[in-house]
Amino acid sequence: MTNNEEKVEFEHHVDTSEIHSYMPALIGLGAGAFVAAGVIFMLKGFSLQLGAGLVGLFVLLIFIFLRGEIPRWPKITKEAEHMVKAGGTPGEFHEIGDVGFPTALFLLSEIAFFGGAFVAYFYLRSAYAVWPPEGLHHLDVVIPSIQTGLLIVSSIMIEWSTAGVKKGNQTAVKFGFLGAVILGLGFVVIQMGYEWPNLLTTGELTPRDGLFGASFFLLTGIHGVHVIAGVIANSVVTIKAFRNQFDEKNHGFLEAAGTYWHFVHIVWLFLFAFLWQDGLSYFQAVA
Amino acid sequence: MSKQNNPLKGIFNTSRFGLFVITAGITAAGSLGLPETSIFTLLPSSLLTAIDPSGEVIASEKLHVLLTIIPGFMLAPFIAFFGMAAIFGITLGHLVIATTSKVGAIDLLSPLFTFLGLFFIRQYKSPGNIIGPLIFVLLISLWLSYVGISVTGFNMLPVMLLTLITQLGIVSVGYVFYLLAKQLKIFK
Repeated sequence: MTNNEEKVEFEHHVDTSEIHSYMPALIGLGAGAFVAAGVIFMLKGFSLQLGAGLVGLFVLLIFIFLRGEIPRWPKITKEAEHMVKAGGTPGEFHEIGDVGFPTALFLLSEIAFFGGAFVAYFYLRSAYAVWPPEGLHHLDVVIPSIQTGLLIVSSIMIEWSTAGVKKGNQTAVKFGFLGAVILGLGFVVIQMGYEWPNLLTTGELTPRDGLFGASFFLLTGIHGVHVIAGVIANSVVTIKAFRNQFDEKNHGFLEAAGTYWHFVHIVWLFLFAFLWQDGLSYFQAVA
Repeated sequence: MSKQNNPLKGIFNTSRFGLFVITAGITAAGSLGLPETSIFTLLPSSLLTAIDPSGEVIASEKLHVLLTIIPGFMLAPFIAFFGMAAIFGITLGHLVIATTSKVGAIDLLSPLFTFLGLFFIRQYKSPGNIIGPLIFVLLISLWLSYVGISVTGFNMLPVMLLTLITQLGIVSVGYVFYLLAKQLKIFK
């Protein structure tokens, strides 16, 4: 069965109503209850009964989830496989509906995630007049500069690909994302394969070197994980592109993956400024 | 929300977001990644002495920092091609740079003037795309002059002249590249 035939079969025969579920909201509520319980237990003198009650609520919600959701997974997986094999997701990103709104929501959650991480970093950093604290290694900017260059070029390649898919330029679609994957891998290799090992093995900076060391590895680590996820997503897009599964009308997944990659790039700029160049240092504690 | 009722239609799309990110990246990387170059190191000493006979402006470390060239401003004339997405991108890039400024927290306001100046480039992009960049240079120079005078308390004229030369220089380089790109029809 060709991609177009699978696509038609998907559009006419597959029931997409099962894809919608109230379970994510339920899980969100349960996770919130769990975190609230954790906070309560850490606060001395607060009600243990309330904390225990919240844990009980979390366990109950997890049970409801397991009982109600898991039996539906085989059908949802089959429908998702149909969607992947049938070709690009219909609809363009800027048309909120198919890909745009879910992608935007996901990016909002990522902004909240990184925002929290940065706020925590600055809260810790604000107590120090000198940063990094005396005796610690000052980071060189050569490596992050190279990494920034890789991300810039990869974003340009994704832009080339996104513009190309709308004009039916399959060469741009294929090699744009392929280039982005290679450059993304280069970023990861430089960070996880060179910079981190170099810092750790020489002892110049380790996670045990106080708040600066811990913050550095935590922030670059979570960003690195996001880069790896972006490389995986871009790889999927590349494979699908080489199978000619994207065209002028069906390329939502391509745009979503590209948008996520651009977001990862933006976060890196702030990381570069805050970690390597001591950004916002004028709000530090006075010596 | 249905596809028919899309408040972002025509306003936000992936191409514009990509352009925003690319211009932000180039602007930020140009300053964060490259060695800081002040106008004082580029101008001949005779010219510097003529502008600042007392020598106090030239000797000021804070003014050296303030008059550091932002390579990303070379992209300013290209607003004529790229539009609002690049305006926001260059502004964000400048904001990232401003967070690392050694002048102080006042530099966090500089991106506002960058945004305003770039907006004028977009508004006055024809004919020749010369008026917009000149307004951009003037706005940025005036603001940086104000910052320089506020922070150091030095004589106004040398500070203003030097900021004007700095911004005019970098935007002129960008304008040459813009004319080249326009001639070669690289960006349609």
